[in-house]
Amino acid sequence: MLSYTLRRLAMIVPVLFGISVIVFLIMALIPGDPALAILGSFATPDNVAKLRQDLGLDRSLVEQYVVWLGNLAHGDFGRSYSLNRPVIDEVRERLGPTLLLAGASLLLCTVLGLAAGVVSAIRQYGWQDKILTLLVLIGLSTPSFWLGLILVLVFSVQLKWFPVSGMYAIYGGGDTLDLLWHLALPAITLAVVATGVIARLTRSTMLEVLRQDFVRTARAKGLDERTVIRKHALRNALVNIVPIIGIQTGFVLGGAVYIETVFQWPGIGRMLVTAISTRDILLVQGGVLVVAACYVLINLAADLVQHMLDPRIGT
Amino acid sequence: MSATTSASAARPGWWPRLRRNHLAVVGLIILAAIALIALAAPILPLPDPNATDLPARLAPLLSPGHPLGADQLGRDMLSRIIWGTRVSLAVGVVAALAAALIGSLIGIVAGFYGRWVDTALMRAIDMLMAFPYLLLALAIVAALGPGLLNALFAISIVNIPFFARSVRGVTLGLVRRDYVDAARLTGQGDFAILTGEILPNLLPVIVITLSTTLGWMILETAGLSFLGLGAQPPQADLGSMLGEARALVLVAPHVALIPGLVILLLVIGINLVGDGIRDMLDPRLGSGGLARPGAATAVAFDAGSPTPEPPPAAAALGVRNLATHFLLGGERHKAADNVGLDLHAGECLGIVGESGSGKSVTALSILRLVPTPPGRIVGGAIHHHGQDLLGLKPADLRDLRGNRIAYIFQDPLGTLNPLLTVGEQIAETIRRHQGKSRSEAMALAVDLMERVRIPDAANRVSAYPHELSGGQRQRIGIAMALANDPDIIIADEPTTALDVTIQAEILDLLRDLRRERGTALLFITHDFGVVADLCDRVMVMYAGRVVETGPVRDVLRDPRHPYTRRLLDCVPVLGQPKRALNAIPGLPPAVNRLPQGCHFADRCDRVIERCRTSDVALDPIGPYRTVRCIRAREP
Amino acid sequence: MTTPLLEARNLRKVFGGGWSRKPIINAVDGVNLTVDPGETFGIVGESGSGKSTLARLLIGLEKPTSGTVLIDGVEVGRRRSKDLHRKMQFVFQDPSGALNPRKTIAQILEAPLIHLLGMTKADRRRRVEQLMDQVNLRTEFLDRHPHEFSGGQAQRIGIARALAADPRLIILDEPVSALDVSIQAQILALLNRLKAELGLAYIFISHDLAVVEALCDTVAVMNRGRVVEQAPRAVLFGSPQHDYTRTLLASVPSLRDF
Repeated sequence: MLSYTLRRLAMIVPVLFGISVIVFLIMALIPGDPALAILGSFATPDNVAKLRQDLGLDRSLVEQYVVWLGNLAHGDFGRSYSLNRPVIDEVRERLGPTLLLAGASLLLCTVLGLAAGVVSAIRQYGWQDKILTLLVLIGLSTPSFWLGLILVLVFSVQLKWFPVSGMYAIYGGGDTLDLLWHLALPAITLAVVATGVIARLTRSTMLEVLRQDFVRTARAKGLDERTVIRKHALRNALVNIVPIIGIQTGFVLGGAVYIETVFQWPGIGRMLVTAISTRDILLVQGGVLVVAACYVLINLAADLVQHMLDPRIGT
Repeated sequence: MSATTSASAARPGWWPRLRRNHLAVVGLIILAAIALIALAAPILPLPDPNATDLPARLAPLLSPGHPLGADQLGRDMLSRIIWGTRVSLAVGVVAALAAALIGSLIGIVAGFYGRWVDTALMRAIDMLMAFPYLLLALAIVAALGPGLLNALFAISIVNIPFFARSVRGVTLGLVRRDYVDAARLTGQGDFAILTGEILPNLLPVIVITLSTTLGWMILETAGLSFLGLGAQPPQADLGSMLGEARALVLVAPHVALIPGLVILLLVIGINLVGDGIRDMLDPRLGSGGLARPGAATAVAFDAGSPTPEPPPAAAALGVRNLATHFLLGGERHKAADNVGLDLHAGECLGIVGESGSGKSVTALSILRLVPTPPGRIVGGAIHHHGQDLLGLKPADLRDLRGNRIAYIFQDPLGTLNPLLTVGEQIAETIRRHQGKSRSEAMALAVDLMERVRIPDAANRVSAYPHELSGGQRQRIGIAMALANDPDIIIADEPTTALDVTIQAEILDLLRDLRRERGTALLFITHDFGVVADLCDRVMVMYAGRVVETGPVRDVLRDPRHPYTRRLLDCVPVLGQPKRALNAIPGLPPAVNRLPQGCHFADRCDRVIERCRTSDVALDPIGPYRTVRCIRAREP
Repeated sequence: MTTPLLEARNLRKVFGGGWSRKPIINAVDGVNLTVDPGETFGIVGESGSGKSTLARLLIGLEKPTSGTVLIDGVEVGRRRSKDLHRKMQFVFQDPSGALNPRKTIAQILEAPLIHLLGMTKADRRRRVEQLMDQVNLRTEFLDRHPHEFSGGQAQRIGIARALAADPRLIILDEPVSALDVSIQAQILALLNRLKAELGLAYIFISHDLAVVEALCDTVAVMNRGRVVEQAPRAVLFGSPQHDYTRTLLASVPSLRDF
């Protein structure tokens, strides 16, 4: 296990490196001159040339990348011009809320998706299966930003059960209960699509596993159905489901952009949308890099869980 | 089942198959309706979607002149929705096609050329996949600037990896197929093989991936527009309409909710059709193949089926008139029909037959391990020391399984759970039936492993199946069967997957164990040599029926059924190279289209008129022998 | 002394090692053999013995790590593979896996006629019908797809394809091990007849000693990538010299005593 963990850890170095190259390239290949963009159209050629030199734009792409990467390593992500503060500070402030939101909905979609998928599989073609399959289909087809609006209309505006937006109540809030109360609707909305994906995959994987010969062997030993399903079928199915849960994290982190916008959640997603519309490139770059790095770490965790479940991997 | 080859011969076309899937038809209707309206937008009598009419701003539903109301600038919602749908659909389809084309190309090249080409391309794809899906699209839009075309571009790029990976995976599998090698040997070059052999087999995968990601891409482009990063005013797609109306959701909810509803409907339609296409193209799902087998074979006697005669109480296992049928695609496959057998304490009975003869189905029917669906026991009686097994409650059946009657299966890798140690898999059946503690059961498991001659059992007990050789895995299978000291072991081709030297060791082991314990053995095989080596009596099956039974020595020396005789003539015997191998002409009948009368009549050299007119009974021709042939008594 | 039809000199194939960090496996480890025109040369071995890899090396589907294969005294690899495959063909183990499910039987049989022989359309039709006749299949089957055939029929089609370019040697890699006994006997009879009619040489690879004994003139026993014993049939089965050959022969459950 330890050697596998170390090997897997070593493998994320090139991935992180690749991510940084892609982000750098996307930003470096932006059409137009960043110096001109910063200074505006009234800049004199001398000023532009000076700024280009300050920004390192007169050097080769490789040199620029090395300098940029060196700065990253020191935690220097540059300065957001629209907020007029270091990018790293802003990102650090907003990472927590995003991870909280994504984590909560990941928990929801894993638990609900697995449960729905298993029930669907063992009641194949029964009424439970039919209802769940229909719900899953609708869940998979729902635009989450739209669902968020509806939930706000119904549960916040009409029924007043939940707050309309934000992370804490403006007056008198601030405790964990208040946070959970604010978290409920966004987390549920964000979890809907991923729940559908996991439920569907769980159902088909369980059906596949239940047809395997070792399930017949388990039954031939006289084990009861609960043991057959839990100990033999579900465990084998999980080996295939866990990496997909890891990949779903990517969809959840991405989907958080919509949800944070709809619910005014103070996370990185909303920051990115604002940064893109104000063309605050360094802020976009910092946000994308940090979230992508988190995603890589989560996938690493999913791999390690899969390795724990399956003795055949990585030996 | 050999029967499937003939069944698939009459596979219907794609439309009848898709039509059988009602949900897919619903999806197709939704999708066709939306697409038709969107396509017809220019010729429909609609007001200009961008014409502002401030007096009518935020008009509610069903207002005069504005059936779906009007937005914050008084623009007609119905017209805007229809034109917006057009844009959303077009962008989604173009993005999907572009991603499919580029992704598939990358996948094919990587899978076909392999080596460093594959490594380089797939590492690049992995890098794209290392980003959270939407975030990469956001980064691209951030670089290119907001706009519908840029959103399309971004969504396309982030979907390329899905196509590249699934197409590469399938291509890798296809390249290793024998028919691709065969094409090389017939002188075809790389290009001819790619276009002629591989691409036609890849198309279903590409279509499946396309139909399952199209809905997704429409959702994501709408999402980017919702965030204000896609369609820019005055151009509008469904997403941007929703985004612009978001602030007004409290005053005029319909302006925001209707575009979302249309997206939902559109994507549901696409997903339903996509699922239908996938089910149709994925051969594993054909003819209800993915149905979950139940815990025990269903027992549902056919109306009017004769009451079977009771098996003799003296037999350890008695089967009479057993009929196990498979119901596939409305057809009835008589996999085992009217099968009878007696197995006495301590005896070894071999069941011999070719594939499709019903020997395994018979063996699995005894403890009702034939999968339902599609299998079903439709008649007969199975008694174990006088106890009726077909009428048992599930709990009582489970008490018997692995306890008094145990199975050994063919493929020793597939029949063991890959995630549990072999010790745990042996111990679990001991705990189930003897109520021992975990540690006691483990200690017994080590004893059993020693008894089946696994060296270093105390350490091997915590090995996983993949860490053992094929022969050792089968020894584990035998140890599992012996765990509760059963009085009957049913072995279904236990040595077929093994090399001949390993087979000899396993047969030795089974012989010794039988001598030590006096366990009765029901041994299913296709190999007369193995029968001769191990069994006391033999039962020959053909096309679902028993055709001959008797002591091994008598049947092998003097076969009385023409099938047995001619089958023995087909077997090459070591040390007799000059023996003429006389093939039996023709093929066994498909068990869903059995002929009347004798099933072997069409291939038989002794056939007479009477063979085909009426059913042939299994006749006793001596004290211990029965034959299903009307000419068995003739010389 | 005539030149042998096929000769393999010190053939070796190593898998793994190098960059892949997989363990090194000597799949074929220094094999020498010669096959004369009209001879049936048997290769027996258990799984993992390297017999299938050897077959793929001989036909050129794998490149040897070292060693050479000579056809008619000319080294393979020095000439175009089309010339090689006109003289030597191959029959696969899994009969239906070797036929592209999306092609008709006619298309499958025409491929070697087009690409190896460059025949005209009319000639091809005649030849395809002749081939079907040679393997006892009805010509109506030509427009059908592989999934409509049983394993035995599919193997006949595979044999017809191998015959199409009129080769002198056919390598058969476990051609009957996926088939039932009664179908196996049909295919073996067919192979015997074709050999007599067309003067073919075979390299027959199998794990079934009885089948090899019934069919082959010379037999080589393989174990762990090496030929441990090679002799004329009667000698090898009558007085086996190597321990492994003896173990193998003693392991076969047999009907001899009946």
